[in-house]
Amino acid sequence: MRLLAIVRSTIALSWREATAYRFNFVMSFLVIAVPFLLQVFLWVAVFSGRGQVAGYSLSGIIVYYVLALFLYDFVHPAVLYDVSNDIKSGELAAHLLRPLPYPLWALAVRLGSQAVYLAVVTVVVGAGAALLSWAGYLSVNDFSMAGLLRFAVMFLAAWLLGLLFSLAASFAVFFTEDATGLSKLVSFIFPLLSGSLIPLDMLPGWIKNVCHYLPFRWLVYEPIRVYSGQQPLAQALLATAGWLGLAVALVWWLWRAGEARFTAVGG
Amino acid sequence: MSTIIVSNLTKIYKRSLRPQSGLLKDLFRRDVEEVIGVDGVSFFVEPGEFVGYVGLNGAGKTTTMKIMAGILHPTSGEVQVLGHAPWRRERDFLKRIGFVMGQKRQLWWDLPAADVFEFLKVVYELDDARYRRTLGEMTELLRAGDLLHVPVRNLSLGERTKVELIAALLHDPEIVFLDEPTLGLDVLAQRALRSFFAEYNRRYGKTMLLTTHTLSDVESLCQRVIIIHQGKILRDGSLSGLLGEYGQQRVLHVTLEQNGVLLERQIEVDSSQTGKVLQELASTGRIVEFREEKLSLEDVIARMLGEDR
Repeated sequence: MRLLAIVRSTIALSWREATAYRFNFVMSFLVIAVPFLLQVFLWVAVFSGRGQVAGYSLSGIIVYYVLALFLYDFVHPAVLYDVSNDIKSGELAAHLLRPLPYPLWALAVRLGSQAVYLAVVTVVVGAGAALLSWAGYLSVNDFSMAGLLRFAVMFLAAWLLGLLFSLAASFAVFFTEDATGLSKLVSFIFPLLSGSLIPLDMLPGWIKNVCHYLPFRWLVYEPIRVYSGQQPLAQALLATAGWLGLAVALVWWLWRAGEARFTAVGG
Repeated sequence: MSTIIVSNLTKIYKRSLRPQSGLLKDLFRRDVEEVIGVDGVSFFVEPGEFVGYVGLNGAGKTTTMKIMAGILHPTSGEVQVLGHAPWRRERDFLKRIGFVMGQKRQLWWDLPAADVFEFLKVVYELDDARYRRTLGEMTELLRAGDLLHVPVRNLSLGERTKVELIAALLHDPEIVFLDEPTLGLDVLAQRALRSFFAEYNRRYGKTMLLTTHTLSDVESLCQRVIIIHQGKILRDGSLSGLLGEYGQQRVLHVTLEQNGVLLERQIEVDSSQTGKVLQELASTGRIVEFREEKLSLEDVIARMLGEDR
């Protein structure tokens, strides 16, 4: 109960923070919309004169991108600036004084600020899909209600998994002192291995095999397959839960080792 | 039983070295050196005491305080605060201590302090009545009532310090660690904070530990002073006792005219020697003005530490 109250109160705090600057809030709509439209134009060009590419129709691939766009910013593992800054600058000390485990705090802060973003993304992606239907690239029939519900469940699981990976990456700062290298590596490999750049079916066989053993496909590619019914929801949830278990263990281990190091050397 | 027990506490830091030579070697190998931050320190603090913990930069003051608050692990020795080993950071322990850091902030830049106070209320499990009472008393003592709903970034440094202070004390801790709380503040803000600490200690009987470079703070607030130098305790005792030891010492401020030129002189002498020293000065020129003062805490500490430099 206490933990839930704390998480709720942290989320409220970070929602207030994320909406502090109203201009930024408005601009965040545009930042999502423009790259999305560019992707659509690119695929319209690729599909011109062709019925199908690698098993996808044009409307199929656009639906794929609508969903991938929806997922990307929430599941994309990144070194969290505020966490790595807390560790590097020693501000972590102030958090260690509170009767609240820091990993939980960092997770709740992120959930709160992203909840604001979720509202923005839902509006932009919804409006984008409506616009594309109006322009004739999509039809309302391309979206199934049951599929969207399954997708919503997978979205929540993938969101949490992505956040835990972000937290693990951020705690690496305890050992590397700076996170720029790790951050670059993640932003280089993630779009490819998660299926957010192009669907994994379109990749060469050996990369597909590599992806099979990595957790990233459960963050973008598989949730979209759950939407389209190509992957059963129960099976996908089970696999994601397995990765969630591993991610929690990894975060906990990195935190314990990192915190011992921090408190041993001083901040 | 003592509120704080520190026994033979030692803290050794590791820090990496990067010499300028060997640009390539530096990529593969970094040397580490060990620095002794605190070296065999022992003391007790009783409930309700207001103790000044003073020393030069790097003497080990903040390190000791961070160990007592559970932020750092000791390398060796024993520390007990309110019956807890601080480094375990048990919830019960953390709810009973408060830490005010002059250089670090816990409030959010873009949010009004009241938002964070509400959050702290949940974290520290404060019931409504207790929360409102403490908040009311703190805002009244600090005259901060009109600051709570302004985003922190729009407050002056002095105002920000006040709301940070409320955040650190909102859960009504039994022990308060003050680490350079008046750093960077102007004279008036320093004075306001000083009278707040005095009142807080007097009214609620809290145990308080203060590190500061502003020795006038210590002089007006603390009954007891611990002086730490190069990680070791140089002196631990009552403030009046320490000043009393140098009670016979005087500082003479003399303005002397020699061959039409005015010279300012400051001389430290034993009080029994004042007359003799003035006589000697008078034989070298005309004494225009002189003032005799007792040593301040700053003079005493400068003397104690200066001899060691």
